[in-house]
Amino acid sequence: MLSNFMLNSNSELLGLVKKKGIEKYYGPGDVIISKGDIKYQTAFILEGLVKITLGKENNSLLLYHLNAENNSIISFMNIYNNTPIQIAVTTIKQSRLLWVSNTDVLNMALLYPDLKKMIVDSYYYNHEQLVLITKNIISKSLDNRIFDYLMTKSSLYNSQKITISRLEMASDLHVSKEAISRSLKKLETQGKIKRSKNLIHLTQF
Amino acid sequence: MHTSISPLLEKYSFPKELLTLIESYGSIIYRKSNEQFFYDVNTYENTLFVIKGSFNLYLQNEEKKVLLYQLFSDQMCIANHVNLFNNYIIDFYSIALEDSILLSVPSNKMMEWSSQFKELRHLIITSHQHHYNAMLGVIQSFTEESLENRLHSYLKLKSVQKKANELAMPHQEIASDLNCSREAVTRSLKKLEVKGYIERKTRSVVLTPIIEQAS
Repeated sequence: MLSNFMLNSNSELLGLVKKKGIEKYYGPGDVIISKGDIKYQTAFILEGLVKITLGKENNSLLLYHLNAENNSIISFMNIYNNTPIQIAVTTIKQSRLLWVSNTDVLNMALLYPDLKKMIVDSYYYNHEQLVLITKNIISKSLDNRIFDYLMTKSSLYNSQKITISRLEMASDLHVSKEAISRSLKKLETQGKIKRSKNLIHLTQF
Repeated sequence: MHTSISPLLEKYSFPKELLTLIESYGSIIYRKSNEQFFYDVNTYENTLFVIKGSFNLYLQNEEKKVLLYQLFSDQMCIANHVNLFNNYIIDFYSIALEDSILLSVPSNKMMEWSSQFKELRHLIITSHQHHYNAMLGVIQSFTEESLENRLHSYLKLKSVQKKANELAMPHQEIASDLNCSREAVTRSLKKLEVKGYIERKTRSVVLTPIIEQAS
């Protein structure tokens, strides 16, 4: 499956979109969108990595990631209405986003088929990710879900070694810290990971 | 005999030009109540819209099907939510809840027409939003709610769909839809009875009328 919505790779189009938008910088851990926000804009990730979560106080389950290299459009499909956003978007790495009003995005999408394709692709990508996580939740054991999670983080950071706190993992997976500890021990016994302090080393990359 | 499509689309207020195009390229599919269909490779050449009736949408999970949410005709929801550019196949499965009608339009034509007609754009984007938010709801309920609450919501929904307060459903069917064991369903039904939300009879379950229906 070819995901091709990299605005960065189409410099002419990027130039046109930049003219209509405002660039903003974010540090790691910045909350870009909170659940319940109303936003009439679309963001293009020019640099960096963000995570999409359920964003509730008692449930901040990790849904998926968006980054500049692959799936770089943060859109809320609210071009025709003003419903509050049901997810939260938080940066993981330092990021640079280009914000464009939905009206401008819609007009440009009508003029430039490549942009239209990128936006539609991003709708499907978002939905597909939700289906994947639903399947994971219903069919996988917690151990396997955690392993998948570590593999995802590993490929996003491009590293076999990941530093991640038990607290963050518990929040992302919506389980208790104890359950995380138990599962990590199990994965270590199975030889899939090696642990030291907050560092997790994936033995199979 | 070619069924005239336009009268079926009256409630959506499409411009005449769009209706003409739909008449030329589209077709009507009838689904009887309880009729099932899988989404396979052939499903993706055409985009299907629910124009009358309603469907349950399920996710195929190994041997089981897990109930996700419903599709209705009020917003002409897309039934086979599909990536028109990448043909990513999502293993969905649908069952008609009542006698229903689908409009089938070649997917490439639909994309073409969406550039011309804002009504179609509006429809496509709203449909995407519906599917996305509905999936969020599913994920929330799977990760947060107790089986009891999910079961109660499920029974209330079934009651509305069947337009009856008494439901005769085997526990195994409920278990399959909710992705749990039959025993768990039996236990949860007992709990709901203790709380006064339902009354259990030999082969059925009766929902006690609660004023919350008014919300």
